[in-house]
Amino acid sequence: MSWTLTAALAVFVVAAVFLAPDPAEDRARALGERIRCPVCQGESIADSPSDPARDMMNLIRARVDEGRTDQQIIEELVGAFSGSVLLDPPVAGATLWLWILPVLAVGVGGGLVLSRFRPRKVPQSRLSRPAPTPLKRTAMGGMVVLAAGAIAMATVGQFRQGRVDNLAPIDPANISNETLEAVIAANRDDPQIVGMRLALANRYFEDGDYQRAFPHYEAVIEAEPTPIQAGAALTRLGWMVFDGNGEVELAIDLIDQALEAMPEDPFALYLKGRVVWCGRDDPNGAAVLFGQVLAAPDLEPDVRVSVETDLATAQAGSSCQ
Amino acid sequence: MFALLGIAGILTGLAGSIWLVVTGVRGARHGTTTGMWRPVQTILGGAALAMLALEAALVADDFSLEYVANNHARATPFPFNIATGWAALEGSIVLWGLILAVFTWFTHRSVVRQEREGDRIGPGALAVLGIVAIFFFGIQATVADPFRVCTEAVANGCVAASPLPWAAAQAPPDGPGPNPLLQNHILMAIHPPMLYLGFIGLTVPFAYGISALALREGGVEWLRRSRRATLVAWTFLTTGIVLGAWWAYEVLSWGGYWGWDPVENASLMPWLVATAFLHSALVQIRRGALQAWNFVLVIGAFSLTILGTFLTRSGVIGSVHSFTQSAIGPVLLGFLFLVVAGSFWLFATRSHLVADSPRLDSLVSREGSFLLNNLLLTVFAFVVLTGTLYPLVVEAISGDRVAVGPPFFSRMVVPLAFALLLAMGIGPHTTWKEADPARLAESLRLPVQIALGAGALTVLIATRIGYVVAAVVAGTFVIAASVSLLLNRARRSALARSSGSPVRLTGEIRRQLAAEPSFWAGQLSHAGVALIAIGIGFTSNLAQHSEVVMEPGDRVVFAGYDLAYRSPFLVTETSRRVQGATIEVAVDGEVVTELRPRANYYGADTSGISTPAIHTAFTGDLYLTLVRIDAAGILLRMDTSPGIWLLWAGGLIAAGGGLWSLTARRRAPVTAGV
Repeated sequence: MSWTLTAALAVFVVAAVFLAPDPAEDRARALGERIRCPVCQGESIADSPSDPARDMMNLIRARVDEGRTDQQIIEELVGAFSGSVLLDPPVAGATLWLWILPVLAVGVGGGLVLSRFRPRKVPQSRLSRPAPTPLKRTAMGGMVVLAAGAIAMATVGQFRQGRVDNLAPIDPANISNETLEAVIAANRDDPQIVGMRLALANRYFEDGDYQRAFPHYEAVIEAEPTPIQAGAALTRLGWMVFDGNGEVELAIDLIDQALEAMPEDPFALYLKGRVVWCGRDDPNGAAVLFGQVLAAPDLEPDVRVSVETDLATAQAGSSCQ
Repeated sequence: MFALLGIAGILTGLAGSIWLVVTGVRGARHGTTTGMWRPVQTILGGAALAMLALEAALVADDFSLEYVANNHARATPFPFNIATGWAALEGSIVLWGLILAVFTWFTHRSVVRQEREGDRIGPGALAVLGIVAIFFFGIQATVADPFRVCTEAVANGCVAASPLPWAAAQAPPDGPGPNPLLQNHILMAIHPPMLYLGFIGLTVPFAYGISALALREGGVEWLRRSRRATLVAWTFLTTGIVLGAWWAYEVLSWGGYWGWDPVENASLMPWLVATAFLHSALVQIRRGALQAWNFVLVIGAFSLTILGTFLTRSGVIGSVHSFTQSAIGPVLLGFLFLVVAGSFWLFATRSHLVADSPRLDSLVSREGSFLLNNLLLTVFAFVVLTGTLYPLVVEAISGDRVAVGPPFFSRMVVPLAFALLLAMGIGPHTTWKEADPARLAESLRLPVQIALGAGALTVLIATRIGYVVAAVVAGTFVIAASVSLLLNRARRSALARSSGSPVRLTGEIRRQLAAEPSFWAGQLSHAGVALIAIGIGFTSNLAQHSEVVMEPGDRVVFAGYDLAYRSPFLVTETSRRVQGATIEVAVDGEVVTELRPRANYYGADTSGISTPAIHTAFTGDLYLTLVRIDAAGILLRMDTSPGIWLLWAGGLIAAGGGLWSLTARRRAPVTAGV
């Protein structure tokens, strides 16, 4: 057999592979393999049979069916569970060097290997030609390293995903409370879990389940939160001690602490107004606070209407409803 | 009593180690190998006594020992009660000490048998082994003491303990038993000792290297001995890694075998560096080059075993901040620092020994392909190291958690692996110094054609997925290259004897194999690695996954199998309760097997260890896992693993190559010496 036949075989194999129809790929599974199961030891959610992992896989399947892009789905999960669930770290931010270091290693190592070899023997006839100067050789070596780096970066670049860190934590509305509880319990020490904890606590708070919300807010405050997170937790803690236990002064104290962290926050002002009105029986004090709430520019229209109603009632001197 | 015996063993081992350092240093000074026999025996005796005392305490259910109380249960059956002896941190260090003692014993034997006049490297290496042994017996006597006596027992374990063997003991009635995952499969009793043999075996080449550096004895003497010792460790390490992957596949019920978990990475990194050394040592033996590099590799391989132990035993993987919770973490980290700093200080102060190594002639040569192989293997190890340590570094610096998982490793490693396969195919066909490109191409033509033929066959009958076809082509190329090399040489030498009959050819093949056993053993290992590559190509790209809810009597079709859920079952065994489902598997209407995926409940554990049931066929495995089982029915996970047996077969063939090389070499000096 000759090289011609070899070439023909090679062309056949390569063509067969490149002209193959796109396999019906399982997008949900491929995405799942890139997400760490937050309650397991280093398994992806595609592999793990645990309930939270299955919950997350179901979310991904639903999103794929809705026609969302991979990028959108990954961003949603990262927003809900923090960047530490990405098994496939982005070529950006804190994990940029992770991708660069191996490429550098190839370049440096390749340079070292080449430096172990004698330059090719120069034929007699060309002896007159000057040998490459050290400068020239260094430059050539540098070019080789750069070229290797560029090729490797281009390869890596194919897989580059957009920045997904620094997203505001969003309420992972499609993830069950049980899953969130499990994830939080398994990642107690992770500072990035605070956002998820707050989201879950808020969910309990809105359902009126103070029993469950309370410990989470406490944990948020203990876990070095951002001022906004602390404010959100303090505001609701304040409301709960009032609404649940009738503790008026403690409630106002907590909400005041929250307002120090985030002055003019309409929700904190409104809740403080309710406590002042219903707890201290002070409609005038409440009316002042409701007025401050209405000064906020970006209030939802229906919220604005209900605060205006409360303001009117309080201004009339009636007791709270 | 066991505590007293055990501590006596540890202290004996410690004393023997110090003694060995003293006699070893003296021997290295005067060039004599006498006087080290007693300390070596003392170390081995002490280490064996400590291990036996621990095992006896486990077998005798002596819960007055903290280690037994917290890691053993009366119901733990044989052989898992024995395996509990190394299942937890303290016991694993005892086994470490014992294996190190055994390696020291063999090293001493080989040093004495060499009968080299004025041998200084041998005694020096024994002294280095003594230093390492001091460390490991030292931590057994202090921060990882397995013979602490329980002074405050609770119902199911021990909450306070004393290092004094005569302390007033309080024994709980029973213990929690070992981690259920560790008693779920027999492989767990074999795989860790294998891995330890590989890990600890790498101390021996390190000892020779450090000895040569300290004594300023460059040359190839240390290298020959180091290479042989590395081959021993490499064979065990290869077996240990493959068995570990197999265990993960059989037990962990996720259908995979390798997750780039830090524990797995810790075993892979030294393997990669040791593999690089096995090749680069040949370059120095044949061409005198790469002297400095070879020192770097033996030091690196040993350091990586300590790093791996630190990563897996200190809790640092869970969180950077948790590693100080156990005293062993900082101690191991300190030892690692000492090893690396001390070795490289030695290296730097003796750089004149290795500075003027000759330059090589051409990249297209045997040494060129070895250099390429070393580049690829060390970059591979570097990628694994970076990916493993990166999350720890990020967390230590910024407190943020990042995860580095399989997608990162695959992207980085797959191109390296293909390049390695190419080098494995081409390398053996090159000649030393400078290969003639035209002759090289000619001798590679047939392997290339066979490989492409295999690729075409895959395209026609199996799949057109690029990675699978590429893995088949590359893997077949490696195997075909080795086989064609053997046939070419046999044919040539048969022709030289002016006869070409087929009978003579098989005889000629045998002669070739016997003439250069270590070379052909290496080719066998290459073939094993090639099979692994093909297996990975198939399983990673062609596996199918699905799940189904079933009630008794239900049927489902999955990947060509007809699965029928017959009935649930519940069995109570001595140490566990087993709940599972009987699934009948049929192909083309014919029942081929009955699979029983199950959940095993150990002791008071209520969550259950899901255990898969596997049906193996030539084309691949059917892998069934119970996700959930209750009165209403089961949630069954179904996976296929096409060609996965290629991985196990390839791994064992690769390790078999190491074994062949070792046994073939041992025969040679016997005939030569007598």
